Amino acid sequence: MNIIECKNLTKEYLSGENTVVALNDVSLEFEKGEFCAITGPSGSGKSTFLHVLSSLENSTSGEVIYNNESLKKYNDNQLSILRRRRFGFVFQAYNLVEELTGYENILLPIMLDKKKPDEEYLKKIIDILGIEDRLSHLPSALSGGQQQRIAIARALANKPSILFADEPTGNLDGKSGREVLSLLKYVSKELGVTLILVTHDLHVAEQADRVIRIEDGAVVEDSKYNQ
Amino acid sequence: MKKLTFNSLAFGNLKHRKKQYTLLVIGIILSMVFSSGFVFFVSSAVTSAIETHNYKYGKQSEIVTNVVTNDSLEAVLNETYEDHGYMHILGAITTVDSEIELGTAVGWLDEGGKELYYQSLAEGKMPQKKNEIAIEKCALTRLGGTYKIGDKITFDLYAQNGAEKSEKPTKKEYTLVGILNDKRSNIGNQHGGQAFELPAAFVADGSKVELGGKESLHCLILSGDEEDEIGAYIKALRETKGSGDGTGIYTTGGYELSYTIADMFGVDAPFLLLLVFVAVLALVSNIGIVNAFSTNLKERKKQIGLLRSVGATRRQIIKIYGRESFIICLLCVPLSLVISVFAVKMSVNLMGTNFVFKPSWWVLPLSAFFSICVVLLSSLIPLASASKISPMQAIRNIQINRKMKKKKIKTQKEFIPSRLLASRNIKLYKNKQVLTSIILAIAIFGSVFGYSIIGGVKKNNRMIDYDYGIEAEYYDFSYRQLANYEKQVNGFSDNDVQDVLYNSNVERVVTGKATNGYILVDELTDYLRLCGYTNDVYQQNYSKKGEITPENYHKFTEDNLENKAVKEKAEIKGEVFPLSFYGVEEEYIESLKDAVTVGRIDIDKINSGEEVILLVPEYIELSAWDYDGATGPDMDFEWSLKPTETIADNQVVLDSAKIGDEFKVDKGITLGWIGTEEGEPVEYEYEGGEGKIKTGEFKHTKIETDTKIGAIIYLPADISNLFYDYSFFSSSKPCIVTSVDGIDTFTKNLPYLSMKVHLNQECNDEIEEEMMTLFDRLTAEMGSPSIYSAYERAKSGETTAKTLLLIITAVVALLFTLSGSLINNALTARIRESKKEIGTLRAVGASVKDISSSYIRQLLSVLGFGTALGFGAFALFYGIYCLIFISMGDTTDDFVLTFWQTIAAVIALFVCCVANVHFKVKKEMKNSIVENIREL
Repeated sequence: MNIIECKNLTKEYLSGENTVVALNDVSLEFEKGEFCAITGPSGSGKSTFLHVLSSLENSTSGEVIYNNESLKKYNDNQLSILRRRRFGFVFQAYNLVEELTGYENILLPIMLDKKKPDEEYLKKIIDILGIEDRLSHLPSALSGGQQQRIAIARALANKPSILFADEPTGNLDGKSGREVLSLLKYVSKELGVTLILVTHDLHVAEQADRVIRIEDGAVVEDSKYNQ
Repeated sequence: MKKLTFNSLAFGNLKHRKKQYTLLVIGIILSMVFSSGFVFFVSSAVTSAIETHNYKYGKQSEIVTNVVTNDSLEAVLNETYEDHGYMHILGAITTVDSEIELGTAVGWLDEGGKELYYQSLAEGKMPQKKNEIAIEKCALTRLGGTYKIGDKITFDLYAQNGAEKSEKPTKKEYTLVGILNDKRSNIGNQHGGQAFELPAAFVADGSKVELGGKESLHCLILSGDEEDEIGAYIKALRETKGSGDGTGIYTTGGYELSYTIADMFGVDAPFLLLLVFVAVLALVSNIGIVNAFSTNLKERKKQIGLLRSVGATRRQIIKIYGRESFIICLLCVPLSLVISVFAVKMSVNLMGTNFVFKPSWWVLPLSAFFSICVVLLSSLIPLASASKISPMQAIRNIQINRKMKKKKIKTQKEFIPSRLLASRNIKLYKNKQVLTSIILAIAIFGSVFGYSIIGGVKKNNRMIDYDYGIEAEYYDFSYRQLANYEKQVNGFSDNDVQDVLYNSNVERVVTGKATNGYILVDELTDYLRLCGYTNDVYQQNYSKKGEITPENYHKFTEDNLENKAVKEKAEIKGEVFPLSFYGVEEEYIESLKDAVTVGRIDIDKINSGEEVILLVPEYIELSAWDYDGATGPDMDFEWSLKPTETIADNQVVLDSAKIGDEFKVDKGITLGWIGTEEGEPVEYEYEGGEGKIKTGEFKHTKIETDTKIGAIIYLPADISNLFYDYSFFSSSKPCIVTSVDGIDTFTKNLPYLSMKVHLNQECNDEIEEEMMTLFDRLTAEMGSPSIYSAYERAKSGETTAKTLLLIITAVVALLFTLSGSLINNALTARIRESKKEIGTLRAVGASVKDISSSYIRQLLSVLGFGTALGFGAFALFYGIYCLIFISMGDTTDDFVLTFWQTIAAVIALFVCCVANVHFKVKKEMKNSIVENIREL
């Protein structure tokens, strides 16, 4: 069963007087609970694809369908609610809010949704991620790996159905990167969350259930159909 | 490849961030224009007002007439005064065969005199040769009119002979070579045969008096603020025999700063207050510059971190940013100075043509230097501290963590994101926000203060509640002479009052009568003697230093010459206590009830003349003051109703007395009134201090009536109602107060002295004209009546209030604009710096409302704190002000608390700031989340 799909996604940018095609007619479907890695060389459009798919960015044409509903109909407010309730994001640069402590960063999507936090669930995530003793620290007092763990916890806090990760290990050393990746893999399996991860690291991609390769804004390889 | 220098780095930085720096430069220019423009304006306006004053009156502060110069006097002058010079008076000229009063003095000025007198030629040149003359415009008109340069004019010349002029004139022909601008200190000072005169006609330097006369010398002196300096000169004049007949001081209006401010703005604004305004504006404007730089400090910190990480030393970093700031200065300073000068010239043009503009150019380089310092310091001080932190600290903004640790931030288990983010931001950027709040507080304080002062001006313009006050020839009835001579019984008849009352615009007329009278007493006690005579009685008799002794005073008061003469002529038996009688309307009698010391007020008995109210001092003290006058010692007398605590060196307390058993309630008294048909019949001749009476005619009417004292009011007392509405009433001298009906029972058909007219509608130009015509008719036969129009006064008061309102509104608007721009700048910078954070928040599901409300909460906090601080500071100031003034027994009428303008300004500021924040957040939200996160 597809949780999210996109049809004929195209994204064009203006660079000076030239138009750059970042995505060219991309159509893909993702199943619930799937761990999918999107790979490709730098500038291939993989991050753009993730951003458009996750509604962080609009497409020039085409549409994204979540749970059989086109996101084209959604206004800005509805998209905000969708992001805070159904999607989780992990960025390469962690993107934690500097003024909030680790725990407050984790609570942010729940609090934006004006909900009571499920403390048992949060404790479970925190335990899995091993960040219990870093919760009261501000992001600037944490290492990259620790910040990324907090970012993962924040992405999972609202029990999302899809976790979007954009080069989550890109800023980390090998060991930290491996740890973060295994955590992502573990929590997504454990919690039944679809994980769509962008990486240019083939070792990371190898661990995914499905690998999609994008080049020049178009899908050139999808392991799901190759098998 | 182009060589990389500090300059190219700085230029590159400026070029790269064109938009950001354009805004920064605009902000700095505006701040500089505000500060340097205002300082330039005030200093130029002050020097211009002084210059205007000098051209009008001359630079000298005093002219001492008819002096005799000698070396000792010159030594004193050179030592004591900033400057001095002489005016050589050679005589007076008039048109042939006309009155000497229509002429003018003629003379010349020495170098010192010229420097001080500020002569300015309207046409032609100053006389160089014999028989050449230059005359001021106004004097030239007086001397016959339409002359032009080169005309030969024959005048009657009265040659000078010391302080006097020759009795008969001789004919003298002059060639008119110059026409001078009028010296206002001279206009109206026609010859007049007086010893003192200023010349409006000038001949060549060094000219001698015709026909062997002796010139008279006027000394022009420029003294400082110290009165002592004039005193020193006067002393020197006496000691060196520099003074002669007719020596006197003519103060030509030495300029004072408050005077120049009044000249500038048409209001009597204290100079200090204006300086404070300018200082606040300059300070606030410079804070604007500091703020403009600090708003992009975070961004700069990252740049510093990057530069340091590639090996730049602290010194190199400061050099790079120093160049950048210097380039900004080079751009901003000249531009802002040009705008300032242009703006100031524009405002001077608006001030009218009579204003001589003398720009204080020296302010500009000083202002430029100051501005450069402010820009460099405001850009480099934060950078110097930023460059101390490690490169990674700068890049990662670790300072936040340090600050948060210091403030012991506690993790919240549940929170509203917008509220938490706002409170954290406030904690993190507290210093900047406190500064912004203080500026807002200053704006609010200034606004409430300014508008409350305007309220006070308006209130004081209308302290008196009647619309018109007309009074017959003014006479001070507090002088308490025994007889009322012809001039003192002038006034309005019952018909006149009816005429006013019948006018359709008039609601009511408050009338009043006043006269001099006496109470017959058994014995003239010390208290009665002290109260019964007036200042001028003593002043007539003592004019030399050393004469004012308690012994002499007692000797004199034993037998007052004038009263003795009148008593004899009017055949008054026994002793008399002279005092004033006032007849006022019943409502004013009622208003005295609270002030009664002994007894009670019964209106019916007062109306019938059965009773009167007596106002007398409980304690009275007479002091004499010696001071140095122009020709010798002078003296002044002063009454006091309280004992003098500290007696001054030149003060002699002549006598003091406390009321005893002189007056008792319900005790029968005899009131007396004497009216004469002719003028004062008593003349005096003094020989060696002994007065002799020259007797004259004394046709008089004497009325003596028995009555009772119903109430006694001890002075001083709160009788302001009476004091304000009856200008002839003196609140400190003994008097009988009764009703208008009551006073008629003691006197003979006394006319009304004053009428206070209340209109039944708002006055307008038409009513004003109608009323004034009526009053002119009623007072046509009177010598010098006074007519007061509240409408006319309000009109002129309105002009003052309007000017003040304009100035205060401009300053308040400026302060609010500055605080608004500071708040907006700070928040705009925060929004700009927080692009990534906004993107992150959006990514995790925050809506526009969530993000906007976070910034609006920060805004509210700053505005709320500033507003509370501003109003709180004013409340504190007003509280202290009231305490001080009330404890001093004064009123607080200078302030009428007015808040609505300030509240409106705060609301407008709030609306503008909210709109700006919302607009800025919306603008950021128009970008995609990814663009936000990437800080594009």
